[in-house]
Amino acid sequence: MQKYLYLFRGGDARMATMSPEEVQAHMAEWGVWMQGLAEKGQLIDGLPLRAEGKQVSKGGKVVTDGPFAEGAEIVGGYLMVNATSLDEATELSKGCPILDADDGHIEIREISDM
Amino acid sequence: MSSPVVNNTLDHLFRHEYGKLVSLFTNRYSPHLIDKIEDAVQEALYKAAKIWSYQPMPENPSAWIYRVANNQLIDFLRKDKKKADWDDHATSELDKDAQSLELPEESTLVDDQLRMIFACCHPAMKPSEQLMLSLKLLCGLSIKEIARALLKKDEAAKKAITRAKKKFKEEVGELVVPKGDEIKSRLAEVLQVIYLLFNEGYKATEGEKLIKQDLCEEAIRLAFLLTNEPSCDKGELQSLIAMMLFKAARFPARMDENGNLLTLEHQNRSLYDEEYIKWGWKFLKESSLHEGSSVYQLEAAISAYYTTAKNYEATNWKVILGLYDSLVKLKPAPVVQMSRVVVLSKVEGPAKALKVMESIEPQIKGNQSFNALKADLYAATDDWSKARLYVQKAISESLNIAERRFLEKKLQSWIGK
Repeated sequence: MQKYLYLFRGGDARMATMSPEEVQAHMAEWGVWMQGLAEKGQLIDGLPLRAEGKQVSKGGKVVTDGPFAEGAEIVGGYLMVNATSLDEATELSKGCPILDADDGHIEIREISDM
Repeated sequence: MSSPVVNNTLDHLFRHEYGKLVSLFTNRYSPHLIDKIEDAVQEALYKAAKIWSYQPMPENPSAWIYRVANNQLIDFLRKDKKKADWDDHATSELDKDAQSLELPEESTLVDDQLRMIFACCHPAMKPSEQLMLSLKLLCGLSIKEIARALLKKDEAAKKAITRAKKKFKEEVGELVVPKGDEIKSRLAEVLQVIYLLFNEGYKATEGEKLIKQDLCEEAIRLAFLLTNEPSCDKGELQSLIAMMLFKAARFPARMDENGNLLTLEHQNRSLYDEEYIKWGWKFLKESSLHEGSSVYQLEAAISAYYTTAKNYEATNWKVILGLYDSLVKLKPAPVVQMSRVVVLSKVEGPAKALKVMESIEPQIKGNQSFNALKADLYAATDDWSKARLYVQKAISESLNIAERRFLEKKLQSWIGK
């Protein structure tokens, strides 16, 4: 088993147009998808990320506000899963509700072992 | 207040949380700030949904949403304070946010919603505006959902709600439950809006079944909320609740698998919701302890007889006719007159009913359901050519597909008779 990282981007614009009822339904879809991963023992960890942040560079001398990216380019959350291959991790990701949004996308990266 | 009828589960958590929190903040700050309040609550719901997409909901999700919305709103208001022309009340409330860290008790939340019901049904607004505002602010429906539920265009619903909100900001002032003599007329208006809301949901019109049923549930929920207000005249309210419960009990049996409308006669009564019926009886009994018979009470009793008859043939038409005789005096509306005619035809035969129809026709001209009823009565007297003529008229006047489909099926079965 290998560990893979999903980086989620986009989807916020769609959410902002939803009614309370739809927001809840959207959340429930995520719940179902994550539950599926958990039941197969493939879910490790994951959380959403806030938009606020800092950028630190130049040996710590330069600190700027926030991620540089905006809108659909900003990482909105991450998830770590177990999978046998990058292909399997890719297949698994296809059930994610973020893909229902036009601008929602997932970057999948293999976490390298030491 | 708790009743098994009102859905307190996760079913509509976000929708109801919206109404609850908007009521709370509007009470605490000011109706002037309604737009900001709505934004803050909406934003808190997004945040909650985002977190809970990844991890399980906390034990008390309402408290969590409240805290986020409250912080958001206070932030919002602090920044806005200088430029906005605030009233003193809101300013002083903002200064004592220590008291507002925790979600208030259920009873306070109920009181806030009660005051909000009266505010949404403020006499400065037209009934249709009161209805839409209640749906938006108290029931947490979006403009899109309201448009869908009331079969309006998005744009039209949006305009109407904006207009109503403007009045809400200008006219409502501090949120209170009216006192003394005023409560009587105001309560009548509130009940009227709830009745309207229920009927919008109950109307057998095309549209999404689910959202229609939601309207009925919301109407019942608001009426239940009102039972918490001691100064409300209970008789009318209980009657209205009973009527809604008896009708809503039939929901599961109103359509066949293909989405075709089923009339009472063809509904599978074993599908009726027993829990609703049980509670319907309870409220009807309680309402009868109060003086006089109101329109709502007569309508509740009529629905009770219809819903609880063993089968269609066993319906007690005589008693129902008696109830309609009283109802038609209090409320001579076309729909009541026509319903009475239907019952009359059961008791005294279709020929007599057709005669009565002639006498009321001048008041109810060119009405689609009037012609459909006429067709049925002619069919019952074996006058098939007239029956076909009137059903065709009704089909041509029909406004929605379910109804038209229903009438066309009828016409087909009458061809060749």
